[in-house]
Amino acid sequence: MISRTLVRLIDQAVVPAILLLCTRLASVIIVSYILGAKFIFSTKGFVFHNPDNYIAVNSFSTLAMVVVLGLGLTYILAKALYFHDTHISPKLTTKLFRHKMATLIQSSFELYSQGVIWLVYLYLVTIVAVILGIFGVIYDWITIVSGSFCAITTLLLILDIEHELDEIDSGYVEEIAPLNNNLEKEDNDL
Amino acid sequence: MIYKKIDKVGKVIVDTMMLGLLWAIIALPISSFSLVSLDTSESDVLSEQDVRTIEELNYIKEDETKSMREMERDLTDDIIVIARP
Repeated sequence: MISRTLVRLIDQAVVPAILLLCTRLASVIIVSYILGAKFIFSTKGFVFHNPDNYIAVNSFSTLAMVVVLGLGLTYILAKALYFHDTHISPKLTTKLFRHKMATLIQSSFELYSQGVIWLVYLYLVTIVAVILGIFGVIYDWITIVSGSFCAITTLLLILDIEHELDEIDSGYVEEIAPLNNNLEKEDNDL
Repeated sequence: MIYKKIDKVGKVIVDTMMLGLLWAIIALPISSFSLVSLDTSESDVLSEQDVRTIEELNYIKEDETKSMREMERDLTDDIIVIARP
């Protein structure tokens, strides 16, 4: 039996990987075109002759990757905070079903596996941005933006997990605790 | 009994391979950072030869700060060291 979580994580990792790769390639070409930076496409990849152009292209393509990851994580966090099947309001559920958007309602397993993968990508991009920033190959503010995104999204995901744990606790109190009390009463009667 | 052990070992191997696959997928976009590079052949980056030349120049500059007598003494010492078998 193959681990269900690992299969799910691999399944979720493919789409952002392709998206990020395409973003990197497209952003390098577009930013070079906008800045008028000349480059040679060889076996080494995109080779720039001007250091200033190289730093600018590297910085803005990293920023594009961070923005794509930020948008993806915003979508996942919106689903986790508002459309999570454990704490979605009945009114919103009705609305979503009426507009045939019920696919937005997802379980914790689906949401957290997506969230973890996208967050891992954001953390890795931030780590690379920090290293590139130290070597002066990208602008410092890109590293700060990336780090801020990381901190905010992690915080929001933790908030949702805490909300989820509270729901589980309150569910336990509502469903299990009365049963336990009844059992204790029966024991005392006997 | 042995089948259970083989099953466990197989599960560990498959899980490790799956983890490797997951890491490979995650590392794919990160490796795209190496796609962009700077041509250093005509840039201001110093070669090893350049560094050695600068060091030699600094050595000469340091010598210029010494008096003539000190420089003569240093040169004599160097000649003695070279002349020794």
